[in-house]
Formats: sequence, C-alpha cells, structure tokens
Amino acid sequence: MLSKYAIKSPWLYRINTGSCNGCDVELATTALIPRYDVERLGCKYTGSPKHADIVLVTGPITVRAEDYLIRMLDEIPEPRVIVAIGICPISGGIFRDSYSIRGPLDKYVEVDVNVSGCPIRPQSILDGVAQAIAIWKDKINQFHEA
Amino acid sequence: MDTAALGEATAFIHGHTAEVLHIICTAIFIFCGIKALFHKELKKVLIYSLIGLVVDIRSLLTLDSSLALSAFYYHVFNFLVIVGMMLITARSLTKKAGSGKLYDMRGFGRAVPWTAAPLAAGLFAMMGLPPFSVFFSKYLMIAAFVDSGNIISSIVLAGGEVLYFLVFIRVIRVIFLDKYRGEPIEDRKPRELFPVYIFLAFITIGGLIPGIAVKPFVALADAMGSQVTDLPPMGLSWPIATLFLAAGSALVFFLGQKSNKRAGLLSSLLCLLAMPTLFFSDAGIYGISFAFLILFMGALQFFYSVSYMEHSHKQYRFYTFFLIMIAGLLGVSLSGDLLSMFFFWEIMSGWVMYLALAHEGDGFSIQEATKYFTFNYLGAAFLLAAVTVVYNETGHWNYTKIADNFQYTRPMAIAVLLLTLSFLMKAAQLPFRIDFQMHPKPAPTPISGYISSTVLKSGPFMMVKIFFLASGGVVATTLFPLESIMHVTGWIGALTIIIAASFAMLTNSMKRLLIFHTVSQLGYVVVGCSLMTSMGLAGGLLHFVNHMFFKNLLFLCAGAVFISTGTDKMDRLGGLARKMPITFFCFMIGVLSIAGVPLYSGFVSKWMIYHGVMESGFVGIAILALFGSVLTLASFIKFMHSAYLGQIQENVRDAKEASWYMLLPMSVLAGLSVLLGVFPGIALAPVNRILVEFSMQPLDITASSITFGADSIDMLFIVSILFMGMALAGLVYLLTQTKTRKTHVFVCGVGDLTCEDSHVSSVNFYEDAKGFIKGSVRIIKKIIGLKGDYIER
Amino acid sequence: MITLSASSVFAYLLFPGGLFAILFGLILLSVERIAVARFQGRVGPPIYQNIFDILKLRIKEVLIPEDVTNRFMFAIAPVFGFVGMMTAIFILPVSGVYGGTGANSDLIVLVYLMALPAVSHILGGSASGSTFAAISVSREVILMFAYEISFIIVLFTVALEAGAGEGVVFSLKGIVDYQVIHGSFISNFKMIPAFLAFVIFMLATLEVPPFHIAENDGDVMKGYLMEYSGMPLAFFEITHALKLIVLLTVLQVFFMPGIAGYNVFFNLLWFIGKSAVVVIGIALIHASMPSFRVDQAFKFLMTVPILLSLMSLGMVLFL
Repeated sequence: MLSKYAIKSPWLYRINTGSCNGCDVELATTALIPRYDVERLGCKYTGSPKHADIVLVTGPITVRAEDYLIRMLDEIPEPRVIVAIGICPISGGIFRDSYSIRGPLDKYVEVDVNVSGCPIRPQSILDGVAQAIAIWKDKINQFHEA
Repeated sequence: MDTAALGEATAFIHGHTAEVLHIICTAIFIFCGIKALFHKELKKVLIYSLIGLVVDIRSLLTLDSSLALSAFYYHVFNFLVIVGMMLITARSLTKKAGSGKLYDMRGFGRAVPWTAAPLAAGLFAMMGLPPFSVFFSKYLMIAAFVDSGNIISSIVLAGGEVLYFLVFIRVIRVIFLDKYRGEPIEDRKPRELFPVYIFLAFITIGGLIPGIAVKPFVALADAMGSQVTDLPPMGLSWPIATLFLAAGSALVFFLGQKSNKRAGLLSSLLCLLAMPTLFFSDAGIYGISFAFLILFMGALQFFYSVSYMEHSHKQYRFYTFFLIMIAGLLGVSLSGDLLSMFFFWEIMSGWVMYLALAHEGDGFSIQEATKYFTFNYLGAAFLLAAVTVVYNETGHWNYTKIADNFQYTRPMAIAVLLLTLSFLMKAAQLPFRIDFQMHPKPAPTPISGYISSTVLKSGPFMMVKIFFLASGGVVATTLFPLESIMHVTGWIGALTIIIAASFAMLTNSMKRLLIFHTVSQLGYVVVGCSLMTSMGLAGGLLHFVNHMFFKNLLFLCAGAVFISTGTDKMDRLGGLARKMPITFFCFMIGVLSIAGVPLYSGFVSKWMIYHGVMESGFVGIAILALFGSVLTLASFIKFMHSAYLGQIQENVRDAKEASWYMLLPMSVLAGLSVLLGVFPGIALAPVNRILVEFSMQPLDITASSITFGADSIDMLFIVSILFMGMALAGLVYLLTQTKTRKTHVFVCGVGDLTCEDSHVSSVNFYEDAKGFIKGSVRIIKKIIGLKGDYIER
Repeated sequence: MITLSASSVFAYLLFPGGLFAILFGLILLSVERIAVARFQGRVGPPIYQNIFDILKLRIKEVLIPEDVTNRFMFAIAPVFGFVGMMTAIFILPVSGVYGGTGANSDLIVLVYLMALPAVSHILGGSASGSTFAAISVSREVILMFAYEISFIIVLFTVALEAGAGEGVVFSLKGIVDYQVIHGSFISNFKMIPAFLAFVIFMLATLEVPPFHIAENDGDVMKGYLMEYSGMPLAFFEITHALKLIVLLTVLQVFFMPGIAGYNVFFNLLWFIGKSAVVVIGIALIHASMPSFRVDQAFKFLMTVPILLSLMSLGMVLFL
C-alpha cells in the first residue's frame, strides 16, 4: 500500500563519471524542454545524493572518477534503482579499449535498467525512467519486508 | 613703560584679584600635574602632586563660607599626613632599590609588600577613593562649592582631578603591578614600620567614621571666627550584609591561602550565609531583591571559580577583592541614603575592582584594567558633583526625605541630568570607545561574567530610583524637563542596542562578542526603565533579571571553553559540541534565551518591553529594538557555528568536558532561564511589589500570564501548544521508524579533505555581507577614532 | 489554568491548523509547480505531487553522516520549524472562518514564531558537519538579517494604521476587525508600498527565485538540507508547506481580509481562492526571473523593501 503512492514521486540524481557530456545534455533536455518534460511523471532532479531514488549514471567509469563513484553510491539511501544511461556505462562505448577506462558499471553495483544509445534520445530516457519506476515498486516492497 | 598704563594695569589686577589668582592657580595645577605625570623620580612625583593639589584646593579660600574653611583645613591635613607617609615609604624603597628613579623600583611592591603597602594605600587615598578619609574631605570641598552656588566649578574640579589620577595610577602600575626582576630582598617587619602604619590607620579610620573625624576641623574653623552652621551630616549607614561580607573577605584572605578550592568554597558559602541577613535590612523590596540576586550570582561565581582559577596564582587575593566588590555592590542596593550609596559605589568601582581585574598580571590585562578604572573614576566624579547638588537643594540624604522635599529647580535639573549621565556611563551606553567603557576582556571569566551580569546593573538600578524621586517633585524650571531626559535616555538605549550588536557581528574573540552583547542587552534594560510606565518598567526590570541569568550562563560557557582549549579566538575553534556536549547544551539554552525564542526567558521580557514602548508611542525605538534582536541572533549563530559545530580543529582535539564545579552553576542558570520562560510570574511577583513601591499600577499576573489593559499573554498556553507540537513530531518519528545507516558527508565523493580545510570559521562566516557592513563600520570608526582592528581582534 | 478545550485541540490538529493546513499547503506548492511549468510551456506534475513526495520520503532509509558533531541537534533541528509553524497557524485568525486564540494572537509572538523555520534550517545545517551546509547557513543568516528589517517596519505600519491614531493594535484579531469595518488596507494608498515590501519579503523567505540562494541545486547543492534524508527531510518539506500557508494568511490578515458574507463555508472558499491567486502570482515571478547572487540579494534587500516600508510608515505617521 505504501508503495502505491510512493512511486508517484521518484527523485532523480545524475552522476557523470567522465562522459563526453552528450548524454548529460540530453538529460538536461528531458527536464527542461516542454516536449519531453519528465516532471509529468512526478520526477525532479535533486542536488543531493541523499535525496535520490533513481540514479542516472552516465559516462564510462574513468580512472579518476572511480573512487568518487564508489563513495557516492554509498551515500544513496535504499530503496534505490540504478539506471545506466547511454552505451558508455554498459560496455565502455567508443572508449572501451582506452587505458583510462575502468570498465562497465556493473563491476561496482547491480544495474537495474540499461538504456543504450550514443547519445541517448530523450524518449529512451523517459522509457528507461518509466521502467525504473516499475522496478522500484518491487524494491520498496522488498525493502519493507526485510 | 608709561606710568599711567602701569597704574591702570595695577588697578585692573587689584580689581580682579580673585580671577587672576584663579588663573595662576589653575596654571600651576596643570603644570604640576603634567610634570608629575612624566617625571622619573618617585619623590619628585609625590611632591609635585602635593603642590598641584594644594594649590587647587586653595580656591576654597575664595569662598566665604565656614564650610569651605573647615573643608580646606581637613583636606590639607589629610594631604599632609598622606604625603608624609608616602615620602617615608619612598625613602625606604629608594634605599632598597638603590636609586630614586621610579622605573628602577619596578615590581618592588610585590617583593616587599609590607614596606610598600602604605604607599599603595596612600596613592589610592589621594585619588579620593574610599575607605580613606580623603573621600570625605573631597566631598566637603565639592559641597562647599555647591553651597555657594558654583556648580560648574565643582564639576570642573571633580573632573580635573583625573589628571592626578593618571599620575597616581602610573606609580601604582610600575611599583605594584609590574613584575619584579631582581634578586630576592628582605622585607622589613611590620613592627619596624609601626609609625607609618599609624598614619595609615588614621586615614582609614577617618574614612570609616567621618562624622567624628571631621569634628576637630570644624572646631578649628569655629575658632577662626565663623560659625559652621551648614555642615552636611556625614554618617554612614552600613547594611548588615555589607559588614558580613567585608569581615568575610578578611577571613578568606587569611584562611584561603592554603588552597584555591578552600578559598573558593569559603567565599561561596559566605555569599549564601549573607542571604538571611537581608531579612534584617530596612531597605525596600527594590533593594532587597537586587541584593538577593547579587548574593545568589556571587555564590555561583565562586563555586565556578574553584575549578576555573586552578591555573592562576595567589587566588586568595582575587577572592578577597571580589568579595569586597560584592560588599560594595550590596551597599549600593541596600543603602537608604545617597551619601552611603555613593561611598559604596566608589568602593565597588574603585581600586578593589581594579586589582581584581588586573589579577592575571600580564601587560594586556593591566593596561585594559587601567583604562576601565579611569573611565569609572570619571563617571564617579560626575556622580559626586550631582549628589552634592541634590543634598544642597533638598537638605536631606535619606531617600524618603528627598522624595518629600523634591523640587525640580534649575540646579536640580542639572543634578538629575548628571546623575542620569553617570549611571548611563556605568552601563556603558553608546559604546563608541568600548575599549574604555567596558570591563576588560583579559580579566578572569568569573569576575568578567559577574561584572557583565550584575555589577553593571547598578547603573539602571539607580537610574530608576532617581527617575522615581524626580517625578514626584514640583516642577519649577523648564531647563531639562524630566520627560525629555527620559525620552533621550530611551533613544540612547535603542541606539546602543544596534551599535553594540553590529560590532559583535564583526568580532572574532569569544569574550569580546559577549561583552558587546552585554552592552546591547543593557540597552534593552535602559529602554524599558526609561519609560517609567507599568509595562515598560516591569519589562525593563524583568529583562534586568533574565539578562543576569543568561548572560552569566554564556560567560561561564565561554570560560569553560577557554580553559579546555586554551584559546579565546573563534577562528581557532570548531566542533566543540562533540567534546563538550553538556557545555554546548547549556550554551544553546543561553543563545535561544538571548535571541528571544518563545519558551525561554528572553522572550517574555522583550515582549513586555515592546508593548511598553509602543504604548508610549515611540515607534522608532521599537523598530530599533526589534531589529537588534535579529542582529543578536545573527552574531550568536556565527559564534555557535564556528566554535561548537562545524569540523573539529586542532585546538579542540584534546579538549575535555568541563569539570563539575563549572557545570553545576551553568546548569542552574540554564534551568532558571527555561523556568522563567514558562513561568515569568515567579520573577514578576517581586517586580509588581516594586511597581507599587514606585506608586505605579501593578500588572495583573498569574504564575505564567501577564495582563495589563488590553495586552495580555499566557506563556503556559503558548508553551503547552509548543509541547503539543513536539509531542506530535515525536510521535510521527516513532511511528515511521525505518532503517538507519551511517555514511559520510557529501563532498562530491572527494575523500582527502582535512578538517581544517572544510571548516567555515568565524572570519569567513559573513564574508558575503562583510563588504557592506565593513563600509558602514569604517565610517563610524572615522568619526569616533577607534583605530585599528580593536573590534575584530 | 490551561484552557486547552476540545475545540482548540481540534483547531490545532485538524482544522484550520494541523492536517488541513499541511494538506492545503502541499497542494498549493504543487499548484505553484504546475503554474511555473505551464508558464514555461511544459505540463507539470499532477496536483497532489507534493503529498506524494511526503509519502515517498516515509519509505526511505535514514542516512546519518559520521562527521555530524552533535547527533541530538541533527535529529531535533527539523522539529523547531515544524512546531513553530503549527503554533503560528493556530494563533492566526482567518477572517470569517476562525478567530485566532484571543489574547495570545499577538504580533510580537508571530514575529518570533516566524523566525523559527529559519532557526531550524540554521541549526540543522550547522549540525550537519558539511561545508556546503555551513556556507548555505551563512547565506541564510545574511538574507534573514536583511529581510527581517523590512518585515518589522511593515508590521509596525500595519499595527499603527489599525490603531487609527490612538495607539497601536498588536492583536491580530483587532487588525482584521478594523479592516472589516474600515476597508482593506490594500485599497488604502498609504499601505501600497508596504504591500510591495511584504511581497518581496514573502519571496525572500520562501526562497523563490529571484531569492533562491540559500538552498539551490546550483552552487550550494541543497545547502542545509543536504545531509537529511527520509523522515527528517519530510519534516522540512512539511514545514515549508506550513510556512507558505502562514505567509499567505499573514498577507491576508495584514492587507486583504475581506469576507464574502457570513457563511463560514463561503469565506473558506474565498480564502482558498485568494491564496491560489497569490500563489499563481508568485509562480509568475518564479518562472520569469533568474536568481540573485548572495551579495546582490543582500544589497537589494537592504535598500528596496526598506525604502518602500519606510515610505508607508512615514505616510501613516504623518498623513
């Protein structure tokens, strides 16, 4: 019962682990441009990871960003959903053989939704967020039974 | 030269002998003073000052009255005795030091105390401070001037003595307060110094029983031909509590030399034991309630100092002087006549206070204590002139008799103005030169806190009494109408609130911030007390009581932090709340009280003051007062964040919680702040009786509510709603418990920032607004000349 | 001695305080978000969005930073603001609907209660142990210092005008009654500058752009709220909603307490209607202005609203 209303207000948090900013531009687009407004689903971008529900990770995990990513992921409260935005966190994308890439995101955390694209389209982002919300509902129920 | 012109000149001089003589004497007075101030040899300093002062009092002979003649004889006799005593002592010191120069005798007062003590006593006596007889002969001199109608000359004379005050204080600093840097020398036994001590006893006894001591000189003036008919009565009435504490201080001096703990506990016990003696006092409820608070706060301070003064030296001296100061303050509150009040006022703010403030002995302490002593001396000089005029106009010393005979004539208007001025100076209003006007920062915290919370209240205390006395009189002049004096006082109070609180926003030192806030809150008390309406005066008096409690609490917390961390600067502190949680909790209660949050005591008294001010129609004062509240909150938030919350800095790493001796007084005061916030009626019951004593309509109060006319408030109601809200919040917290987890602070995932890097310290706190504030402060500084970063240091 | 009758407890917990105020406030916040979105050409969230936000926060786990200097203060800080606002709503009269609490509905009490949410932000932020929170606290204090001056002057102007030359009316109910008889202050030309100053004060204290400084996503990353999560964060959000209602009610008490007849229900609808119009006005300013920098905001708040309110005060005193 709790989860029925809770899923109507997912808060999004963006982590950029060294991406080319292409996907980040599209993320900004999704929130601000009228056609793709994500606020319809009740979402909101928040400034602090401790307020986050759905985490949108862009970028291949570069060497410098690795430590920071691990520490930040620790600061996100359960129940949460991790979404990999763009092809870079899924497989490294066009940077995958580089010396400074530490590997796909699921080496560090269990990824719930993979949304690929390079750069990703706003419609895909919305689709990914909608799927994440559905997964989130199950996670909430699991978190409260445990 | 032309004989005609010469003849004219001679005729002119003959015709105006008095004025010419006067000018010559004034010139000699100033010349001797300056010579004495800069001369290097002790004997010459003493002789120059004798010449200057005697020439000055020669002006008494121009007055034609017998009072002047007897005053002249008594004063000259006193001076001769004292200077003789000092010259003998100077000779012994010269022998011991091997040279007559003042700076070669540096610190000798500490090395050979028995030999040098008469010199100290003599110097303090020459300044005209009690309990020495010069106090009374100086009073007689001023009385003679006032009697013959020269009020202005009396004020000038009293003020002009400041020059000689500076001379004497210089000698005292060099000989007694500086450090002794020679080989140990042998002190002479008291037996050998017997003759000198006889002189000392003479002038002291003359100061304590003035009525008898002055009789021979009256007889002498009598024998010279004129009948002395108008000698003012010079009896002192000693309240029992004062005698008790004075005797107790001697007890502490002798018994307390063994250990600091024993001395402190003994002093605290003495204060508590003095409370029952208040029942035998015949002062009104106004005096008795103030005296009760004085003793209560004193007991707490001494208990606190048992732990605080552990690191100091020769604490028994500190306790002795402190006790004498409290005895003086008790005398001010319990005395029934003006002369005794003035006597005790001078004891309270005289050399006893100076020696207690300079206790730590380092250069900065002594310098600041000297500045404050000078300021107090000046204020007391005005008080002397004013008190004499009041006697002269009404013919009585006793308060009730003055009230019956009060007539608001021209001299009386000047007297009331001077009295108000002097009491406002005591309360350090308009703090443009706060380095002179307030007690010094480096003094030990127990006495700092006590002066801030209790001693400075004697200013508004007496001011209310004077307004009450003056308002009952027949109005006979339009020179300084009482309503205007009261209105201007209110404005001075309101401006002080803003000025002091704005300086506090800029400062970086804990104690200086608290000192500025003392001045600011005293502004609230002055605003309330200057209204003399029921609501206004009750608000002012309630704030008087509340401020004592929460200001002392804040000072005690600052002292505990100073002992634990060793520093007073807020930019070196941080994160203390983790190391000293109980101190932090008490500190927060103090901060919420001073900011005026409902539930704590500050709110009720401020509410009453605002209502009182608006009732009298002073919109400007009300706006300034309410704004001052915001400024107060802002500067305390800076203090709270940079010292207690935030990241732990290096000074704080080894800090420990304060000891129980310190925590107990703090907790008592914190509890009282909350209690008076919910049940202000406890403090308002005596205030109501005081209002009746001042012939005003008492307020309609229950334990927790206040009603007067159409205004009313019920604190218990508001507090119970607040508690209902808290209970609701607590319930919600309990019902929605989920898992918790520890994680780290968000700094974008960076892991290598040190605590020093990530702490926002006090200098940086208001950086964004500093440009604007600094600009305005710079203008003020240019106008008043307060150089450098005195405020910011 | 304590007159907490059943009706006052009802008024405190359910209507018009407590539950009604919280729900109404949350809905108004969503209305504001919808209005901003529509002004920007977007669709915006559904109207119950902020209520869902609170319900969602209930299910999140609570994270406590290990650097927190004082856990007690960190846990208790949200409660100050909540308690203060609940009490403020309880004592505020709504014209035609609720009469306040008689003698205790007093302007001075209101001023100090309205400062409590800021105090709770400051305590919470300071206790967080985070640098961003500390910076945001210092900004909040600077702004509070600046906007409180104009609020105080507006307050005294209103009290003086309601006293109509024979003293000052501090009772809130008295101010409302005066205006019901003599006409609302918003139609009084002397009070228009005070009205403008009060609107600026409202924007500053609600942290709506152009005053979105102490707690924004841009440079201080949520500032004093940064370390809070779960139920404590929900308390801050509820306090924000209550603050909006308190400010709207104070605006109406001071300037436009008109009533639409003597039926309680119609007066309630009229109150809701006026509030909604004001909120949409706020949304218009929100959508069309960028935010100030903190020193620009400080200079602005120290000059413009103070001048406006002093103008009103002068006119009331001398005209």
